[in-house]
Formats: sequence, structure tokens, C-alpha cells
Amino acid sequence: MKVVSCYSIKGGVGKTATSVNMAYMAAKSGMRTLLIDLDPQGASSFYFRVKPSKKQQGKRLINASHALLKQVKASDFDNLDIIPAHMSFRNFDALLSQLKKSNNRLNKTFSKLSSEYDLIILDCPPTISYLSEAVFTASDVIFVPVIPTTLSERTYEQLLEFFKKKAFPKKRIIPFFTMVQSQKSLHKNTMNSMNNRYSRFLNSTIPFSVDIESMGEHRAPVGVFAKHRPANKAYQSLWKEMDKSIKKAK
Amino acid sequence: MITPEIQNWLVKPECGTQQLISMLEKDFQVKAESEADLDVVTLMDDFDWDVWNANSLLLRSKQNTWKMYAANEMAEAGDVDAGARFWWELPQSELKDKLKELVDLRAVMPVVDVHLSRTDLVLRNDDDKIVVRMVLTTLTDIAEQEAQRSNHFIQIKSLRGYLGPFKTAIKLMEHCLAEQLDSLSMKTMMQLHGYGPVDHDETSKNYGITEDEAVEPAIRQMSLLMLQTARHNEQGVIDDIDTEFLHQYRVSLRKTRSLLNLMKKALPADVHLKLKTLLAELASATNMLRDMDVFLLERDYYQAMLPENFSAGFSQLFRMIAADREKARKSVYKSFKSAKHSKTFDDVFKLLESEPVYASDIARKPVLKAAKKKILSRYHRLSLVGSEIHEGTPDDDVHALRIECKKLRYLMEFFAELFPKKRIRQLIKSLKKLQTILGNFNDYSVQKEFLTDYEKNHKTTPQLSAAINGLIAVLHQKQIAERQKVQQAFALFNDDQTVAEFQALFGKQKVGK
Repeated sequence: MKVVSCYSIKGGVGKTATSVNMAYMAAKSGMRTLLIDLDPQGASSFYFRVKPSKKQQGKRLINASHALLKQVKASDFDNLDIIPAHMSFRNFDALLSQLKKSNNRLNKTFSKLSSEYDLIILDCPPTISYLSEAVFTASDVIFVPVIPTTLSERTYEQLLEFFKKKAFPKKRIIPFFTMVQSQKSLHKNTMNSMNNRYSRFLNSTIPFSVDIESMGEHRAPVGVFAKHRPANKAYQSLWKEMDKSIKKAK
Repeated sequence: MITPEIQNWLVKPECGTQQLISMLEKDFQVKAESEADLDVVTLMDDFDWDVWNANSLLLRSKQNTWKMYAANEMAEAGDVDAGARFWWELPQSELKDKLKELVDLRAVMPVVDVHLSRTDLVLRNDDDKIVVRMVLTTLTDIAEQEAQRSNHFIQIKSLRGYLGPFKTAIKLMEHCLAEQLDSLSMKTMMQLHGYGPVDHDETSKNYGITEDEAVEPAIRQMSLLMLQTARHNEQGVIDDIDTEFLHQYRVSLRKTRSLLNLMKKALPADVHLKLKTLLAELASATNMLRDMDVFLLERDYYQAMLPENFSAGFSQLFRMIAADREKARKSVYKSFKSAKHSKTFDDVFKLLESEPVYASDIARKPVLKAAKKKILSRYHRLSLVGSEIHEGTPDDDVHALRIECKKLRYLMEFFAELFPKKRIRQLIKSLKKLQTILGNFNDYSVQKEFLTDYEKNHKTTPQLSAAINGLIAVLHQKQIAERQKVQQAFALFNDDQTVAEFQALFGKQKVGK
């Protein structure tokens, strides 16, 4: 079983769209997949039309793994389950901060799930927090979407510095370009320069697309409602590369 | 992923798809997707329902695709010849192998045609999320009558995290659900729809005799049962469906004659004599056909014995035998359809159904006592004959041993239901092992003789003669090899344990379990 996360310090970079489409494709390729929505905004849960069970709201997640498992819901698609966003995940990192060994807690939880799933995808909130650190520790690969602008370049560097400071292995980070508008020279130049500076960027890029924006209306991955259009093709090509790096990891 | 909870239900006959959907629409959005074409399938099986009895189901679609369902698996073979009935006529596939195992020499025939349709029902909640999945399967008769029976079956699957909606759906449909089923295999559905083998007494090996019953009525009853089996197989011979029908016909006749001989004096002497004559007549009319069948079935076995350069002669031989077979078949057909044939059977049944006469002491004896005595004395005879066999003894002694084994085995099988099942089965099992070797030895003899006679009675070419003699030579070598195994096989059979067990089961004392 592999654990991957989709992470960005900034919001609005297409992180959730990536998690959703990645989960859909992984499941389609035959991997038993679990998507865990750690973002209190709950966008990926929304895309899969899943709400958390009312019973668990307000309760403190004392026994994290037990509570997690109870939250699992089947999506509309074979091989894909979801743990929807939960308000008290907001308290999750507060809980974790109480424990010195907070990072190992998440690992323990995930190892229980390994008999049931081949792939766990974590859709992370755009923060740097104890939760994020726990996620970084638990992940085999961390996919980072980057919009090719100068500001994004800086943000990416911040992430690398954070990893250096905390002695997290940088090689886990796999960035890729997203919301690309190839007619813009800023985008083209930024992609060139970042590719030169960092060898880890994936070749496939995700274009800015109306289809991706309308995921909210359809409440479904693009593969469902825009199968033959460019955005989906881009995700398919991206998934192929992601699949390779997931298999290579560890 | 945790396996979802599944429930299988038989739906009440008065409820249809529309009704179920309107019940569910109270709490869910329901979308129904049916398979495009109503599939008409034919249930196939052999005369003995071997496929069904092995918990499998063989279905043939109109497009000549065959599907075999077993437990949770399905094997498929496409593009099958329209008239295919034997496993060897199927294209290379898992289904071909499976069928071979189940039916061997028997032909599979259409049993019944049935409509099979499948509707997928998807239930969504207010968020448009799928929360329950169902499959509705419908079986409908295709009969000439106007009233076509249908049976609906529903399989309801819960999705993880949505147990509530699953339970709600079932509650909504409860007035339409008749019976919950453990599984929804094709076979279960067919059974509930009313298909399946009719209980033939011949499928069980019991004759329905009891310990204290007198020998004469018991023997009469057993014989009647066996001869009814023979009669049941006649149509299959007339229609030339497969070679097993004739084989079973002859086996039934042979066993009856055997029973009457082994339990001599059970019936009055004149009755016995009449029956013997009549049964011999019935059997001999089919000798030629059976010989030909046996030889033709073994074509591959014989072909493997000869080198390539004999192949032309070999083919010629088989062509001639196939032609002879057809002649023999026509003659049996005529014979079975004749008035004389019916009369002979009528006479036989009349003789057996007449009141017991008790012409001798044995006729009156309780059958268990009589059986034990016979079996034990046969066994002692067999021990004697077998223990005298070594490398130097003539072949005739080996044949004699084979006959003794056969008689003992028949006796044990005839009266098996009167003895503890496991123990007698074990003895029969060891006896069978010895019989296999003796049987092979005999087969080679018989085959050599068949070929020798064939050559004598037919015009041959040098090629044909060469093929025949080549086969005889190989068979001879095989016979010699088998002969050498006999002594050891007998010792293996007749060890101290076996000796003791025969005494224990068939000696004068009462038998424990």
C-alpha cells in the first residue's frame, strides 16, 4: 500500500481537482483506493457527493483510527472509497500537537488500512501545521501543483526550505504545473526556468480549463462528463507519470 | 475493502419491476437500466443430470455461446457448433475441460428454454449520491402455453458507509419480498423456478430392501428395479444420443442375470430358467453394437500404439469398423422397436411381479443372513484362487480370479445398503484396485481377440493387416506387463486387515458400526 498526498501552501491551485481526478483514475486502473479529505472546506468530498455522518460531528477524535474507519463511504465508482471532510479534523492537528510522537500516530492508522487499500490519497488543507507535518511524514510521495508564475516559484522554494529545516526527504516532493495558459509568455518562461532549476517537475501539465472549473456543477471527476476532451487527456497523461513515481517510491 | 452487505431475495409473484421501483421512490431517486436484449438461454444437461448434480449449470445462448456456472465462477466458450453435444466437440476452453470432467462419454441435451433478463437498479439520495445498488433478475418460461411463469430475484448490495439507506430500501420493499436466499446462484434461481431432475430411483444405489425381508421378494424387487433402468435407457439408444445409454442398458441386464445366478434358488427353478433365457436374448441382440462402440471410443488409445507409417492402414480399419457400427445400430434400432422386444420385456416383468412361491429354504431366509453367507463363501473362494497365482500359473487362472472378483463385488454392491456404509465402501474400494489390474489384463486379451477375428472375417489389404498385427503385438506386450502385477496386487488386497474385516462384516455374529 502506498500513501500519497496532494499538497500546496497556497489555495486555489487546483489541488483538489487533482486529488479527485487522481483518485478516479487510480480506482479505474484497478487500485483499491481511499481518498481522505483533510481539508475542512471539504471540496473533494463535495465533488464525490459525500457528506460526513452526522453522528461523528462535534465528537473529539480520541481514537483516531477507529473513528476514521467508521467514516469510510463508498463512492459511486468501483474501487474508490472516501473519508469525507469532518469538522473536527480542524481539531485534528490540535490533537496531534499534544503528542510528541504525533507524526507516528498517522502512520499507525494507515498501516491498519493497508490490507484493504492499495493507495491512500490525502487531500490536504493549504496550511503548514502539525497536520501537514504528519502528512509529510506519512506520505511516500507528495504531489505539489504549481501555477507557473513568479510568485508560485517563491512559494515552491519556501516549501523546499521548510523540508530542509525539518529534515524531511525532499525527494518525496513531486511538483507539476497546473492551470497552465500556454499562450501567456509568463507561464512559458516560468516553466522553462523552473524546469531548469528543479529536475523533479513532471512532464505532463494541466491546462486551465472550463471543464475542470465545471467539476463543481457536475459534482464528478472530469473523466465522467468530459472524457474525450483535453483536460481529461491531460489528467490521464499526468496520472501515468504519477503512477510510475508512486510505484518507484520507497 | 470490506465486502458490502448483500441480501438475496425471491420476490413475490404478484410484484413486478414497476411495483418495486414505486415503493423505492418514496425515499430514493431510482434509475433502472436493463440489459438491451432479452436473453433466451437453453439449459443443457446429460441424461443423468451430471452437471446439475455437480452443482453446476450449463446454459446455451442463441448465439451458440455456452456458459457453465459453478458456485461463483463462470466458464465460457463461444462459437460452438450448433449441433454440439459432446465435450470433445467444443473449442479449446476451460469449459471444455470442465464438461469433460462432469459428463465424460455422455451427450448433453437441451432440457428447457428460458428467458433471462437483468435490470440494474441504482438508488440515490438527495445529494444525488449512489447509496444502494440492486440487481433484479427475471426468469421466464418459454412454453407454448399462454401462461408464462416468471420469477423475479433481487440482489441488494449496500455501499460502505451507507448501511442506513440499505436497510431503508429493504424495509420499503418488504411487502414484495417473499423469501430470503443464502445465495443467488444461477442454480438456485433455476431450482426455485421449478427446474431440476425428477427424482429417479435409479440415481440412488439403493434397492429398498430390509434386513428381515425374505430373499425371494427381495430379489424380485431388486431385479424389477434394474430392469426398469434398462427400459429407461432404451429411448436414448433408439435416438442414438450417446454410447452410455446402450452401456447402461446392458449393465442393467447383466446385473440382473448376475443377481439371479448368484442367489440361485431364490426364485423357483423354472422361473429362473425362463428369465435367464429371455434376458440372454435381450442382451445378445446388442452385442455387436456394443463391441463396435467400445472399439471406436478407444480410437486415440489405439492410434498412440502405432508408429506414423501405419496411419493409412489404421484409418482404413476404423472406417470399416465405423461402417459396421452403423449396420449394428440399425439392427438394434429395429430390434428395440419390434413387437417381439416389447413382448419379451412384458414376459420378464410378469414373471418377476408374480407372487413369491418360496420353493426352497433360501427363498424364505432373511435376506441379510443369506447375503452374509454368500458373500463370505465367495470371499473364501476368491482367497483360495488368488493365493495360488504366481508367475508360472496359466493365464486361465488369472481370468478365473477376475471372475471371482466380479462376483464378489456384485454381491457386495447388491446388498451394500444392509451393511455399515463406510466399512463396506472401504472393502469395495480395495477390491476395485485389484479388479482394475485384472480388468486391464482381460481387456488386452479381449482386444487382441477382437482384432484377430476381425482380420479373419474381413477382406484385408497388406496395409490393413500390418496395422492390425501391429496393434496385436503392442497389446500382447501390455498384457504381459500387466500379468506381472497380479501377484502383488492380490497380496495387497488380501492383507490381514482385509481378511479380518470380511470375517467381521459377513461372519455369523452381529455387526457393529
